[in-house]
Amino acid sequence: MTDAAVREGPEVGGDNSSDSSTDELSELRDLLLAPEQTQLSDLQERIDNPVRYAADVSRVLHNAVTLSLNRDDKLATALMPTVESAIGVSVKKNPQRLVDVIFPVMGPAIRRAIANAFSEMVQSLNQTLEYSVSLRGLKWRLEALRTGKSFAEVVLSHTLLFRVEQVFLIHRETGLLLQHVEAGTSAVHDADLVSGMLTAIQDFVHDSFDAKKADALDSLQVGELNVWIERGAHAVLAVVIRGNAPIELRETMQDALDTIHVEERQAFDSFNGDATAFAATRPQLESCLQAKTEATARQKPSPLLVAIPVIVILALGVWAFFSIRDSRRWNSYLERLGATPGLVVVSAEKSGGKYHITGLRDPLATDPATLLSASNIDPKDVVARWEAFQASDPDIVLARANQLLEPPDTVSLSVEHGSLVARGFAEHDWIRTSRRITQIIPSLSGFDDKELIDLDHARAEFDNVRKTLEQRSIKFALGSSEITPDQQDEINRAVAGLKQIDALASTLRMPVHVEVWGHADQSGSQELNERLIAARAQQVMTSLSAGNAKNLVIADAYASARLAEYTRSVTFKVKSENGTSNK
Amino acid sequence: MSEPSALIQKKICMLGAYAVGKTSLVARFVRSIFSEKYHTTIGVKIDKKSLRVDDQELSLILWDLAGEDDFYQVRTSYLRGSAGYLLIADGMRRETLDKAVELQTRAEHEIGNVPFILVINKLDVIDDWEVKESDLAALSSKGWRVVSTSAKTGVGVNETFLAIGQQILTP
Repeated sequence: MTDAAVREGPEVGGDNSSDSSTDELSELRDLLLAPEQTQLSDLQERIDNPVRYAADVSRVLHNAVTLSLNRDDKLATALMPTVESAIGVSVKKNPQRLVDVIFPVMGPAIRRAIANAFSEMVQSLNQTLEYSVSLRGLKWRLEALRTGKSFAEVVLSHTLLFRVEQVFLIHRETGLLLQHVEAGTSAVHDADLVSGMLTAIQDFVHDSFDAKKADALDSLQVGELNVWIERGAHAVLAVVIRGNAPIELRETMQDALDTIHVEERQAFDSFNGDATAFAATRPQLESCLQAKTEATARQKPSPLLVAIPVIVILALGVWAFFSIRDSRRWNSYLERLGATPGLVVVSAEKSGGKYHITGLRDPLATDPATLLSASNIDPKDVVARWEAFQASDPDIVLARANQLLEPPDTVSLSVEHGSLVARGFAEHDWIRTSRRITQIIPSLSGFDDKELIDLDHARAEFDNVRKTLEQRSIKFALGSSEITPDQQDEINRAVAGLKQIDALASTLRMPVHVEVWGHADQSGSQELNERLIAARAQQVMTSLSAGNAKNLVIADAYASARLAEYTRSVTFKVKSENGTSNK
Repeated sequence: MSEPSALIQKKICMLGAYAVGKTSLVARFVRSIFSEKYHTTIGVKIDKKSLRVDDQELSLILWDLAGEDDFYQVRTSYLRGSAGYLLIADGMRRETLDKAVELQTRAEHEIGNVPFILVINKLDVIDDWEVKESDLAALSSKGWRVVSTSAKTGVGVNETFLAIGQQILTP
């Protein structure tokens, strides 16, 4: 009905006042839709007005955030950059604010860390002092040397042998056992009762000694058994330790207890004696079941750990062997160099795996490289730099003299008292040249040729002696081959001449022989004369031989007989064996 | 309550004057692992008794507090966390009943209003009791639950522990 009325409105009142119809319409609309319109505009205003909109959102924001966080962590991810930068800006603007906020959290944590560090240090120091002078300490010191650990570490590793045998999680208020874990085979009395007694003992100690409210029993010790106790708001964690546990265990306990408090908050709130819910804390309690038994501490080191030192020692041995051997070889090489005339070592060192040597070397000295092989050194390992110089070693001076003078085979040279001494025989020219050259050879003070025979002089003398000998004549009486006493002097002079010939011939390396010629006058018959000639020559030969004359040959008597100019005598001719009697 | 419930542990304290038979009651009830000397050292001895109350496995952790006399006062801090307690008196000694009443006041002050039962021990020699029926009736009228036991013969012992178990399980 209403609908029809509205629709028909314009048609019915079309010619009537349109203003009045509009008013009616709006009035009608107001009548019909006023509440909805007010709501709509109110809603519109709530959205458009930032103040109201913010107020609306603020009413639901925390619920929205909670819902979103429960669903997934998208909101956290989205907020992270904003939160991070907000913290950054805050810190930059006023760091003190953040310090104030986190100090209550950081303060105790830092204090605890420092206290732990001190306590560890003191423990380590005490044990180090205690064990540093015993036999065991010595053993451990060796171990420290072998393993490269600090001595304190080794001491700790041997002394901190412990095993957590039981862990109790105890309800703080009632002393009831919430959870209990034990290591392997440790003998346990009824854990429920132990839990109760532990609580009673804590109360007892606390009450008996008027301890402050916050103070409580931290540990019990009976022989090598320790009970460490950590307290939380709702629960107490007690661990039974056999041996000497490190202080870190306390941290583990604290962490475990904190985690349990966070995770089991609801279970604590609704605890009525049913410990089932606390089964979930077993992993936390088991984290406290630490052990460092003697067996693990004294475990045999792995073969690799044994092998490495052995290999290192072997390698060191081999290295030392080769190093010592090389060093010996090098020293022997240096000794050889030092003993070699004409070589002066200025510096020798080893660097970069090679030997470096510098020095002075006379060109006539032995090549240092040839000495390397004698010392078993690889020439490739040696970098040598030799500067030339003239050495004054007698050997080198002699070598230089031999090189410059080129003496004939018949001359031997030596250096004596700074002088070059020549012995033997030499041509006059060589001698004269050598005298001059010797003057310019360094380190020589003179040329000594007193024992050197000048061959030119020897030859002249030989000729003289030969001439004198060949002019000698042993006279005989008519028809006789007897040597008369007055001829004895001539015989003696001939003997002397023959000896001189002999000596000079050997000096001159000129093989000679002397022919003994007999002579007769023309008075006798041919036959008689030849007989006399032979007899006289033979007679003189005999006399001369008695005077030690050598190389005598009797000349052919026939040939001698033809030499008419001679009369009853014996004469000599000196013949060199290469066919000529003289030059 | 209908679901198969897990084991529930409860702490129960035993309070009373010296030599009223607290420890004997416990000894009747359980085999103890701790020796008597705990009483003279730290003043408490703890034992455990498992029982079943209306299909509920219950483990009573019994804190047997040293008997109070002129020289020793019970450490009330041991009461903390108790779900209930037993007040023990010796029927042959009137003053132990007074002590029990006094201890109840202190216990209530320490841990509040929790279930407790007054146990008059030495029922086996009831003829020699100094404690009169009227005394007990007066206490009963105050709403106290009063039982009589004999640690010697065992009469009433189990029932007493079951009763306290029931009380602490009933909200």
